[in-house]
Amino acid sequence: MNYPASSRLWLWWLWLSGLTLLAALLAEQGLSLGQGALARLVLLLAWVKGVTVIEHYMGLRHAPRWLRLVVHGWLLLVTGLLMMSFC
Amino acid sequence: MSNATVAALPASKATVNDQIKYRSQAVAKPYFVAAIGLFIGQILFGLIIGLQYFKGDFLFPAIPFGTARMVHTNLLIVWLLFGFMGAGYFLIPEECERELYSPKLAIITFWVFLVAGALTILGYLGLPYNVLAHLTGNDLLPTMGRGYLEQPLITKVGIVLVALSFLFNLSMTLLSGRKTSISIVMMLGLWGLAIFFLFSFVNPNNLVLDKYFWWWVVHLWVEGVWELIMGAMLAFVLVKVTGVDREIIEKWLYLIIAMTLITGIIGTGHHYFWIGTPGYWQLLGSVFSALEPVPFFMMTVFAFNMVKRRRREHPNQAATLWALGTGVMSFLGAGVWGFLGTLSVVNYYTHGTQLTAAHGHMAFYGAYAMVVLTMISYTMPLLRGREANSAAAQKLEKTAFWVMTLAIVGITLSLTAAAVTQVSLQRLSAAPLSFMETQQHIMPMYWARFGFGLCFFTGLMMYVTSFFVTGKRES
Amino acid sequence: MNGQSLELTAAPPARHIPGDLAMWCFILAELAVFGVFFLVYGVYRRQQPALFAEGQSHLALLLPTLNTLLLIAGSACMVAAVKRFALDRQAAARRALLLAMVFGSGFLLCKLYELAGKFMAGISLSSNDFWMFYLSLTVFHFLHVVLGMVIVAAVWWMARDGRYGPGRLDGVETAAAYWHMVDLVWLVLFALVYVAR
Repeated sequence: MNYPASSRLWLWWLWLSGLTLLAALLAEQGLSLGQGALARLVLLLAWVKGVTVIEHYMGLRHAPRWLRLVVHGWLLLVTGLLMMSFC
Repeated sequence: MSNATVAALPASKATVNDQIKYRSQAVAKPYFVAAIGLFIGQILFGLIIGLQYFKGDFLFPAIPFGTARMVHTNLLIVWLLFGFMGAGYFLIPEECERELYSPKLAIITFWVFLVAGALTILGYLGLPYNVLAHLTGNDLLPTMGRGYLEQPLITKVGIVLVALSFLFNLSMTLLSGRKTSISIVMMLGLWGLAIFFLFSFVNPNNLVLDKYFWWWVVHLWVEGVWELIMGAMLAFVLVKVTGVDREIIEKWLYLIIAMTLITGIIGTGHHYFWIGTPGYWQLLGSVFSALEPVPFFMMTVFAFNMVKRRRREHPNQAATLWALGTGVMSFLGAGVWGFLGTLSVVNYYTHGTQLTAAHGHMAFYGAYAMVVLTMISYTMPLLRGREANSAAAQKLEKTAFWVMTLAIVGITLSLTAAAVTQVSLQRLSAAPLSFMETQQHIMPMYWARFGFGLCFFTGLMMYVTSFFVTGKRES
Repeated sequence: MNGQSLELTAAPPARHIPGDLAMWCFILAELAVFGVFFLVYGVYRRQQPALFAEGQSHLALLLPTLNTLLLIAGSACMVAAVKRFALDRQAAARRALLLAMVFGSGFLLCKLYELAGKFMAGISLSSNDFWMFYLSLTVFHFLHVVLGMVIVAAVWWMARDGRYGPGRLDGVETAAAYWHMVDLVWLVLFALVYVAR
């Protein structure tokens, strides 16, 4: 099995942490992007972060297709439906 | 084991039984025999009340419905307890790889429990309930008059003492023996059973609290610690009949019980929708109990998977059939039928209807009756000195399995049809009918249910007969 | 350590489930519970947007953001731990496990502080629908972080006698998978309950 290099690991960590801070900053600014737009953006960011965790942290990148489908499917379904609930 | 306790063991007919690993496992036999006997009693009374549904004054006033129902449900619980105890006395010594701490105590406890149980049933049948209450000290500490917990105070105390004796015996065996996942989960479940039974002594004056704590016995038993007992028993039989690596089976067992506890503990909230408890239970109870089918689903997958991966062809095919059947029927009865009414938005309409009865019958049979019968199916031949029964006996036993199981499906479907009728006429309708008017519409379903009940009894008789069928012995 | 990816075999790696299948069944079931919880929250919020917005305005962002960073860091440590066991760097791997637990403890402490503040302000499950969800979700998740810590601690303890190593990674991968699930769920929870306003 492939294991990521340390540099890769740092990169993913920075990416995830960065997105987290971005989302928090946006909310803190009280950005009024219009009806529920901030909420949808933040949930989208959560989806992006989630994909990273599933692929690279959980290592499902190398997992059987059924498992990838189920876990990614879960993330997409939950964040997707929640985003829709803010329309 | 002292000479006295050796002497207390049931005397073997001829030579020493070399099918069981430890002589003291033999104490399980009387427990299993009693279990089957009480099971027969339970079904007889089930037939009585099934008949009384459409012929209300059958046996009135000698055995009114309320009394017969009490006998039916109490016998169910007691025969299952005898079954669990027999299972414990059989599997703990084997898992712990040592003789039972005190076979003599096990035999004494057996007789105490049997006699106390018999006297209680006679009390129900022979005395007006209020007289029984007065005679048995209910004025000291009122614990009677609640569903499934109708036992007199002295009986309840007796149950606690019997349980303590049983737990003491097994715990002492476990403490000095090998610890396995199966034995630990079994003991956890059994201790939990005893501890939660103590809540039957908690009887608050406040009706809301009364009902709140009642479920700490009933729900936390059948949707909690009893599932641990069931899981351990199933795992034990599967290890024996499939020969699959113990580690694999034990891993599955831990996951199954983890799911049981995660879903079942807060899942108690599905009984707290309408009894006067805070509204947040409608959410929490629905969400968690919705997932209570998961451990049963896992048990089914687990059972089929283990049998598929089996390393040996065990001659006791009947036991394997019972094990697989337990998985399927418990999932259907407890899992699926339970799910049907578990969400608060649905339960609002189905609460206290025939849907509950439909679920209850298939769940109790599928999960607990069948796991006890699985255990008996596996152990009884061994206790009688052979690895498995003859082909003829097994064939009859397997036929009995199908007759009883299909009969329960019939009962459940009849009651489900009754439930649909009842809910639509009495609850969902724009012009709802009264309870009694609705019952008139349901009568045909009660007839059907009774018919299936007779089938079930037939199956049970076939099952009992299979113990006496000889024929070419399997070695 | 050079910057290249490690190839332990020459051929493309076969599809592989990280950790125990049985644990993944459990993880999927947990995801199901949380998923249902989140979606039901979404329904309730949609029906009472003002109530939920008002409740959210009482939630400071600093601690939850810090919590997110802590869990992400913990996950990174678990990935490192698995990799190090694969390379038979036992001591370094155990350090990574310990560090994951340090981050996890940090999460728990911050969360306890936050919850204590709410309870002292008189907030309970019965306060209103928003607070009911907030408390249920955060406490339920909290319990999962505790369980995750217990699992990682168990693996750390058992690693002391060299039980995990190249080709013997099942236990560690299983623990890591559970931890990542707890992290994944938090990412959604954080976004939904705290940030999406």
